[in-house]
This record gives sequence, structure tokens and C-alpha cells, in this order.
Amino acid sequence: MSELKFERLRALVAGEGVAVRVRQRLQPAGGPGDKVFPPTYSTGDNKLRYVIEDRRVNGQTVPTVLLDSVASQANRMEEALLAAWEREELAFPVIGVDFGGDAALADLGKVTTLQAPHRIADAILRDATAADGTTLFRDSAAGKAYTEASPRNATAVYRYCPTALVFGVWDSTGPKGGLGAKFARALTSEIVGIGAQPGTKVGSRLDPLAIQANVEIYHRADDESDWTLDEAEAKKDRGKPVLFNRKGGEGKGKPSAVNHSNIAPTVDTLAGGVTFDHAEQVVVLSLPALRRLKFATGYDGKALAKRAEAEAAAHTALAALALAAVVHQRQQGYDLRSRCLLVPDQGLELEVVLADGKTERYELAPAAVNRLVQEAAAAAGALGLGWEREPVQLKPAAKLVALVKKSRAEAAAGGAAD
Amino acid sequence: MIGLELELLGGRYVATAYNDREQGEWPPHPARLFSALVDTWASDEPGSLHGEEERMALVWLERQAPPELCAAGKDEVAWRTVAPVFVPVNDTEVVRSPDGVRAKLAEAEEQASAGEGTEKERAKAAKELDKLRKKLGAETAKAVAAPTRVSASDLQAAARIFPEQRGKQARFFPSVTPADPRVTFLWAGEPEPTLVAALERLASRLTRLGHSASLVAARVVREAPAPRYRPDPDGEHLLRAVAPGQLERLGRAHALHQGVEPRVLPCIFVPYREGDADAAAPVPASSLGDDWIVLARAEGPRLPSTSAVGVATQLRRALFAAAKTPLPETLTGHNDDGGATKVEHLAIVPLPDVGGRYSHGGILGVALVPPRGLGDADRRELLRAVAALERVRGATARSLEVGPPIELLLGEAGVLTLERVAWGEHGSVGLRPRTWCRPWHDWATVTPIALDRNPGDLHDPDADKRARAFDDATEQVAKAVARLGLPRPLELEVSRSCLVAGTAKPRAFPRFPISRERPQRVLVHARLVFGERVRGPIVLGAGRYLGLGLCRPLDPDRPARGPTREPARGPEGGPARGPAAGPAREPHERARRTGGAK
Repeated sequence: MSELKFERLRALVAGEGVAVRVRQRLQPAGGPGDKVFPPTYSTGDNKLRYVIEDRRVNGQTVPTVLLDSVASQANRMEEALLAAWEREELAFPVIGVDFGGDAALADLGKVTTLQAPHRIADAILRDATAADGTTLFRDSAAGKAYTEASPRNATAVYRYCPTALVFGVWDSTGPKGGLGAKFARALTSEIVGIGAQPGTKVGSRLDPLAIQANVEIYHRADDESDWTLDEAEAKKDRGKPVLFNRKGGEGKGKPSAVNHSNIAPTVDTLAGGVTFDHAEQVVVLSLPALRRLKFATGYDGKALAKRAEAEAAAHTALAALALAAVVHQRQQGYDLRSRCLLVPDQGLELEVVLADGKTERYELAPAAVNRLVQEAAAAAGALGLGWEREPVQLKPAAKLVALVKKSRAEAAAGGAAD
Repeated sequence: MIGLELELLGGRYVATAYNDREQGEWPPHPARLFSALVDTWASDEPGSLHGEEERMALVWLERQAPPELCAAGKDEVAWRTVAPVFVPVNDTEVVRSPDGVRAKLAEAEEQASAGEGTEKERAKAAKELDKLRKKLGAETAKAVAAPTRVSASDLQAAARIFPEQRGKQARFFPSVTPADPRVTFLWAGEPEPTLVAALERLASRLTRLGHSASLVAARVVREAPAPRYRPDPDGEHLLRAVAPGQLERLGRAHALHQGVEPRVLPCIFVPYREGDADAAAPVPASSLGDDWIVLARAEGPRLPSTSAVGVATQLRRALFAAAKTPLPETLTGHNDDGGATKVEHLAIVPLPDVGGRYSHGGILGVALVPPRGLGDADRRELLRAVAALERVRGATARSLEVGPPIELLLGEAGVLTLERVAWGEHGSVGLRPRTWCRPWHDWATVTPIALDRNPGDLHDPDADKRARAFDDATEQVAKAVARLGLPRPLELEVSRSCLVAGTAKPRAFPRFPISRERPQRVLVHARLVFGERVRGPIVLGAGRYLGLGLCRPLDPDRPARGPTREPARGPEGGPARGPAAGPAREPHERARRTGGAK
């Protein structure tokens, strides 16, 4: 299996290829057959359950459970890209809202388009200003260009936030309202567990202090949110002390209401983990979806000299970026959630689907994909479609800063009162 | 023969059923594929030479009969649990966007850059521009400044703008995983080479079918495996397909919704049968046809279903008055001597809104139901009569989907305006012929049946007499079913109360016939359960040509309200029923459960 080189990628994206697909086999980190915990979804009657389907494979029914959804995988890929960008392994435009300007909010760091739920169209960017603090993002050059973008002229999005073209974005709450630019995703990924068998989960608590359940606790007379064992200090109702009870809690008057003593085991069969034969991550990068993007103007705002070539080069750069997302996410690992750590069973294999239905196979290491991205971006830049060299720096509006500070102050004060 | 083969690249098809947001769709509907192709054409260069060829290919496609499908059968498909996914919203706002000033500024900038007008005008425009820019700056400064007074909602908005605390909205993404990820749509026609090339280009650019997570790879094929789904009037699957004119309709609809507003895909509903080439035994059909002429209520009073006979009578009078030449007996119901005809003839059936949770029971429109197998000449007479009726008022149709308005004078009730459904299916489910005609085994009346003879007193305080009256009524209904050419039902229950949500009790209906010179007929509701699927429409009893005795197939997912049972012969006997229900229930239980994610 050879490495996917830039020339081949360019030819595939230009028209020979239809899709790049990855089918990665995964096993639990604890070894095949170990129990993992898929994501839970609400059923409507206050229970949590897994998302399953009974697939038919060779005449057999194979129960399959969803381990990570398309949206969740997209978030993880963006995180992986962000990490690679911060390590300076990859260079591409990322817009960030920097909360570090104010010492009190430095812990919030930077919220980037790779972390914001709606990417470049997100509310947190909409409510941010340029570094001078007086121009809103959407009134700046970058923001205005983005507002006017559309699939027929995607240059602004390509220039300022190319990842949005890979993962999809819809500017539904911007200045144009629902008519804002809508770009469908080109990359999907999903992880499922094949041959899933449900397990049981048990939860209980053994009190290290061995506090008995029959001890009675009461509300304090001077502070109702606190408790006491002493009847003299307890709040009284008609001469009798009032048993302690947290709103919505169980066990009135018992130590378990204040998180002491033992809790009897609960048995959960609906969301008690699963075991499976193997897990599979299926990634699909659609090349026609990238080829759909048109660039009426170039980086400089004027019509492109060699438009078809420039567009093909831009598509290639986006494909390279998408592949980088896949490769770096694999590198980052599959620690999906608590008690759900998966590891790949085999090396990464890119399956390229050609127009006539045939397939080709390639491998791609992280260092190689970084080079691909660099080469492709440079090639597109040379033809007039480049990525923004200076990262767009935004800072939060003074109003937001003040409000966050105020709510933190209130929370601290409220805590002290407790 | 030409086909379009789609490979579901991720192995899944993510698409919502057209009538249930929490259900997936399988097999993929041809209308959806057509829309995807139209989108592919329109987002490239529709005006170019290639684009024009692609447009002609689309027009060719819409003119073809609905395609056959090679796709996994319903039992080879995995329906994923449909769970709500909570998606972060984007309309939280801490800083108020100065959208108004922005819009004005954008407009002013555009005008200024056009550089028209005299020097004085240009200077004025530049000053205006300056003023607007300053205003934007001022409004922005006000919006971003730290507030002097802070309300609880401000604090909440500030907290919720951060990704971890963003508000969420539940959405559903139903997904279906077929055993074979390939789906092929097959059309019998042979397009010319330029159109084939155009279709190949469209296929190569097609990215998805259904949700954006449902990525596909498409190509044109000239041969395919045996199709699994075929159009068949007796079919159990209802798929949305396209008819000539679809491309134009999609274009006009797009101008209105811009890809943003909620909208319904214009389509025709085509029944498909799943399975092998040898057709199943044909389904017994009633002697009334399903090629209706539907007149939808456009304006005027929303009349309750109890007004059915009145509305039908008025429409009949108006229709026959407008027709210039005498009409044949298949339409009038009178033979040459003026007596009642023996052959099946036109029924005028008002259609009420019933059967759903929010049904209001009012009349949605009126259907002209011709007898099954009506000759072409007679059908032309009917259409001519309708056209003449449409010309009476002399108004023009307000859109291509409907005919010119017809006004029915209903005396004190007012004037009811009807419009003929001229293309495709009406938006209301109750005005679609399929709703009343589809092959099904479990039916109930929505307007009561007028019995030919008096069965006895159904309200007799004596239990025995009452039971005999019910038995007689049951027999009469069974005979009425036979007169319609249908097999005898396995179960037949006669009731004095309602069986379907939104209907009215028989007692609420005015006397039938209206004329006091003729004896009043007894009205009853009934529930019919056949041993096999039968094709409608089912309209029973003496009032069937005026809309009484109209039956509706009962939706298996929304069972009918149980009738109040009449105790027949004391505690030992069972309730008064028709022929005993046999074990034949089971096949239908299975038939009902086919293809649903539950």
C-alpha cells in the first residue's frame, strides 16, 4: 500500500475520485470482549437508553449500537485539528475570540471556530469585536465578506475558515437571517459497535464512616439549608423537630439526604454498558461535495485568472484538510467518554472510490498529511485562492466581559453565604 | 432501460418519513431523488449549454412512469432507534446586532459605488454614507458597552453563550441501514444520447440523498438486478413520485421558500408492491372507482359532516344544471325512462376531516366518485359538465394546481366555494383519493349508512327486540357490502355512536331523505373487518350516492374508538356481532407491523 501523494490527491479531487472512505476496526482498550459504555439518549419517559439497530449481515441479525454520532465525531475531529494547529504542525486560518485580554477571565482562554458549536457563524463570534473593541466582527472586513458568501462564491469562507467548508455551516442567525450562507458537510464519521450485547450496571455506596441509616437529622433553626443532629438546634414545627429534606431529594430525615451512610445498590439493565465483537469507525469524505464549491472571486476580490484550475486547487486543499482531520483524530485516540476507550485494531487505510466503482488503497501518516495540507494550500494560494495569513483576532464585547465577571462575583458571594 | 445506481457511502440512509418526523424512510422515494437531481442541476450552471441539456434530461425523467427500485427489502433493513438529539442553538444574544443600520449602510454603499448622478447628488450620497457609518459606530458602541444595570436575563444570556452551557433543541435524525448499500432506480424509457450524457454528469455531481450525513455516489447504469419494488395499484408501500410539471413546480416553490422556510415536497403518491415478479392475487375492489375528481373547499363556511347530504344534493343540482347536453345514466343514475338505473353510477361524496387527533370533522371538500371502469366517453361527459360548472361564475383559477372557483349556494349556511384539484395531491390527507381507497381490511363509517328497510327499534328497552333489530341492521349492511362487489366481512359491528375520531353520531344527522314525502331511513354507523385487504372506496346504503355510508380504512397505528357495545342476550351471550371473527386476524397483524420502527 503506497502513500497518498499530492499529485494523486489532486487528480482524484479534480474528477477521478468520488469519495475517500476509511473503515477502521476498533477494540476496547481493555481487550476484545471488554464492556464499554455507549452514549445514552433520553427515551421520553425519563429513562436513558442506547441507540441500536438490528443489521442484517449474510442472513443473520447482528445487533449494532451507536458508539459515537456524526456530530460528536465532527467535534472530535475539530478538536484534533485545533491541537495540531496549536502544536504548529498544521497551518490554516482559525478565528478565535480571546478572553485573555482581561486578567479575571484569562482562564476562559480562546474560543475558536473549531470549538464554537456553529463555527464561523456562531453567536460567540457574532457578539465579539475586532481588537480595537469598537467594530463588531460582522462589520469588519472578514465578517462582511463572510456574510456575503454563498456556495457560488465561497472565497470568504475558504479564506477565513476553511474547516467550515469541510464540516458544514449555516449562517441562520446572521444579518441575512435564514437566507444566510448554507454549506453542507463534506465529511462524515461514525463509530458503531457490531454484535453488541447489553450488560448490566450496578451502583451503590458503602459509607467509610459507617453511619447508620436510622440516625435522624433535622433542619437547623437558624439556617434551613444546613442540618443538625441536635434537637435543641433544630427548626421546630408544633414543638417537634422538622426532618431534613432537600428539595427533590429522597430519604427525608436520613443521612443519605446529605450524602452520608450507605445507598442500596441500583441495577440498570437499560443502560448498563455493552460488549461487542468489534467496533467500526466509518469515515466518508465526499469529493463531489467539495467540487460543488465555486469561487467567483479570488483572495484579492477580483475575478480569478485561471478560475477552473484555482477552484480545483482549492478543492484539493480542502480535501487535504479533511484528511488531516481524520488522521489527527485517529492520532488523538478514541477516548470517547467515561469507560469507553477504544483502540485501533489495524493501521489506517484510505479507500478511494473511483467514478467507475473501483477502489484504490493508500496509507497516510500524520507527518505526510501535514505536508499534503501545506503543499495543497500553497498551490491554491499561487493561483489566487489563499488562506488568510494573519489570523483574525477577536475579543469579547465589553458587555459580555462585564456580565461574566458579575455572574462569577455573584456565584462566589452566594457560595460564601452558604 | 436506464437506471441510476446510488451507493450509500456510509452504509446508511438518513431521511425522515414524509408523514412522521420520528420515523425513517425506506425505500428511498423517487420524488426525493428527483429533488436531489434538480438541486444538483440548479447549483451548477443551469444557464449554460450543459445545464440546458441537464434540464431537458430532468424533464424527460419527470415524464416517465414511476421507476422500479432495486433496494433491500423491508426485512433486510435495520431501523435505528430514533432518539432525540440535542443540538446547540445559535440564537443566544448578548450584544444586540445593529441589523437595521447595517442594512441601510449596505444599501447606501451599493448606491454610492454605482457612481451615478450629478456631482451634487454624489456628494450628498457620500455625506449620507458618512452619517450612516457614524450611526453604526454609535449603535455598536452602545451595544457592546458594559451595562449600567444588569438583569437576571442578561446574566443568563452571558452564561449561555459559552459552548458548554449553550441551550439545546431536540432534533431527530432517523437512520436506516440496508443489508446492501446500493439502491438502483430503473426507468423503462430510452433517452437519446445527449440526455444520457447529461444524466451521467448529474449523477457524478450528486452528493447526498436525504440528510447531509447520507452521502452517496451515483452513476448511470444500463442494466440492473431484478427490481424489488414495483408500482402496483394494490401495493402496500406508498412512495412519493413525480409527475410531468414537477421541475416547474419545484422551481416556483423554491422562489417562495428559498431553501429556508418549511415546505412540503410536491409529489404524487404511487403504491408500490415489494416482492417477486409473480403478482399476488388481485385485491377485491368496490364497484366505485378511485379516479376521483376532487373539489376542495376554498372559501365559505366550514360545514359539519352532518351537512353532507345537503352539500351533495346542491352540487348535484348545480352540476346537472350546468351541463348543456343530457348526461348518461352512469352519471345521473336515471335511465331513459326516468326510473332508477341498475348500473353503478356517479356518487357525490363530501369528504370530512376525520381520523386524526386534531380532526375537526368539517367538510374539506367534495369528491365526484365515478363508477369503476367508467367508459372514456362517459368520463369526458363528466369532465365537460365540471368545466361548464366552473364557467358559470366566469372567474379564473388562481394557480395551476386548482381549477376556477365553483360557488354553491347553500341558503342560510352561506356560499361554499370549491376548487377542483387539478394537479397532484391536495395538501390535506382527507382530500386524497388514496386515503379513502387504499387496500385495507379494517374499515369504519364516517357518515352513517342509511338502511334500506327499518330494522326495528335500535333503542328498544327490551333487550331481545333490540338484539333482533341490531341483527337485522347487520344483515342489511352485509348485503350493502355485497352490492358493492366486495366479499363478506368477517366481522361486522353496527353502532349508534361514533367509531372514528371527528365523526358525528347518526342521531345528529338530519332526516334522510330530506323530502318528507318519502319514508325516513334509519341511520347507523358500522365497522367492517374483512378477511383480506379490499380496495375502496366503500360507500354503503341508500344514501351512498349523496355521501352517506362513506367508510375509511382505519389506521393501524391509531385504532378506532371502540363502539359502545349493545348487550345482546344477557350475560351468557356475546355482544351482537356479524359472522364470528376467525383466526384470520393474525396475517393482518403481521401485515400491519411490516416496516415500522417501533
